[in-house]
Amino acid sequence: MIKTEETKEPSESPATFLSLPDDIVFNCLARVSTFSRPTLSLVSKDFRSFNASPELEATRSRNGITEDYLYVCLDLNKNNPNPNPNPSWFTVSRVPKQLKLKPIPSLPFQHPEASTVVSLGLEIYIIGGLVNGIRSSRVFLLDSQSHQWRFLPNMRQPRVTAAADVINGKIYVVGGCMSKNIQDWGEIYDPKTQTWEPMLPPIYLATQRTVVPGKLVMGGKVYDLITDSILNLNTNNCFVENAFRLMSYSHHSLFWNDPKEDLVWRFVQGLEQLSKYPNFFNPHNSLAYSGRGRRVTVWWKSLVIHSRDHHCTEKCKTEIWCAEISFARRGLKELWGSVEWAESVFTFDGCDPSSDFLLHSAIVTH
Amino acid sequence: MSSNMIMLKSSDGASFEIEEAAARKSKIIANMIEVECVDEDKAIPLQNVTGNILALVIEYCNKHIVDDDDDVATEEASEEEEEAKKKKVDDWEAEFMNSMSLETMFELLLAANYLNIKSLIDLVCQTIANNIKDKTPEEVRKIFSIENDFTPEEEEEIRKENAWAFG
Repeated sequence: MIKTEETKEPSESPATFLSLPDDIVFNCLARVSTFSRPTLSLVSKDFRSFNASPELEATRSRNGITEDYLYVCLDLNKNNPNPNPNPSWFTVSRVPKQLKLKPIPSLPFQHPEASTVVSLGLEIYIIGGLVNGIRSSRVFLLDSQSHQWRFLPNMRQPRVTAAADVINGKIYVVGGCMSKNIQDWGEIYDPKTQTWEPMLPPIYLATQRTVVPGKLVMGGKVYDLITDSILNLNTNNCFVENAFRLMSYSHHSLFWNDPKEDLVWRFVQGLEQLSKYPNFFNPHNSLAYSGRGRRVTVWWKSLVIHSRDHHCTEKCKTEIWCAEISFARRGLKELWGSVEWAESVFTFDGCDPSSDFLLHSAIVTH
Repeated sequence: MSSNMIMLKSSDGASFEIEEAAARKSKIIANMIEVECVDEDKAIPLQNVTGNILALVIEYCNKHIVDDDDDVATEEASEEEEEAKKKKVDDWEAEFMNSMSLETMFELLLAANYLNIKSLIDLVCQTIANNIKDKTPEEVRKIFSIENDFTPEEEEEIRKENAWAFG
């Protein structure tokens, strides 16, 4: 066959993806979610080397490519005869076609109950809580890149269920302590100097207490003020984008309130879809709002029974379900929710009906 | 305001007229203009870019030179205006990339790389990334016509290393 010479005919063979210059291939791959790397490594040997190369991370940072990582701390399988003494940390990871929980090494020390979690920069802070029933002033830090845990300097006061927020690069921690002194009310951590300073005068608190009358709102969480320093976290509440409160009241529905308008709880429209998903245990879903953006996830459990006998503890699996919901205001009195996705993200053997399994959540961007 | 026009000549002999300001999106051409004092009659030869790809590059540069002018002119533009303008550019870029074949994207990348137009490289790379995100290994192989060169054992090894993702 005689090849006809066209004017536009390129002189070389057609370009393929892997024939592109390396920095271009890295530029493409760096723009795909880091959670896709295991899948892309399976494509071919060349793909595997590109995905394993440190140049991929370097390209990401050179081009300012970032991704939001949702971290959750879950208390799983309490009924297991050999339970992990510590709750488990995961990142919610989108792998092709489905969501998975990617495990992160657990805290190598005893996990403090009723501690407070905030994220700042690339790090997640676990503040205070109860260790062996005793109020703790310890602070742990999880580095989101190396996934290493380390100690930070102790707080000035031991605190339980303290309220915390990040303001201008510093961590404000309030309440949860036994002291009656006003100077012990709150303290501020400066990551640059790695020191805790008393929060004086507590002006910030005064403004936060007016957001929802009678409540303290910090870091997207809502607290009752039992006394000046004892706080009670409203676990089925969150405060989204400094705009409205959400409350999970039953499995199928959410309620909302805009405290700037009134204190009336109204039904969130458009979430009928939620009732389609299996749910056997939870009187209401757990809400994870991490104080940033519009991302609110709701969490619940479902039970899958594999045998027909009554020894369900031996023969059943517990599924953790998660849905992401976005919101749109329509006028003053309507809030519409939209289920972005809802998936079973984790399964374990055994039957664990406890509904308070979502302990903490935080978003880190890198 | 009248603007300088310059001529670009593709590897297959096609000549294109382009505003100098648009052509300066390419660092290489900008450099040629500085150093070699290109005059209007003389076309700049681009040995590595064919006419059909050069046409796409020029379309992109023409569109984006307008945006750069706007940035300077409207310092007090409101946030909403900024957002609307950004959306317009995003829509144009989506339309520009839409229905472009993968082969054309690769050639456009090579041209943008040769001409050193960073924003065009990034746009095409992002489009390719969007093409392969949320795809299985089989689907990615099909998109890029790549053979699976792993043995079943090697594949198993990779799955084991990332058990959380494949479990």
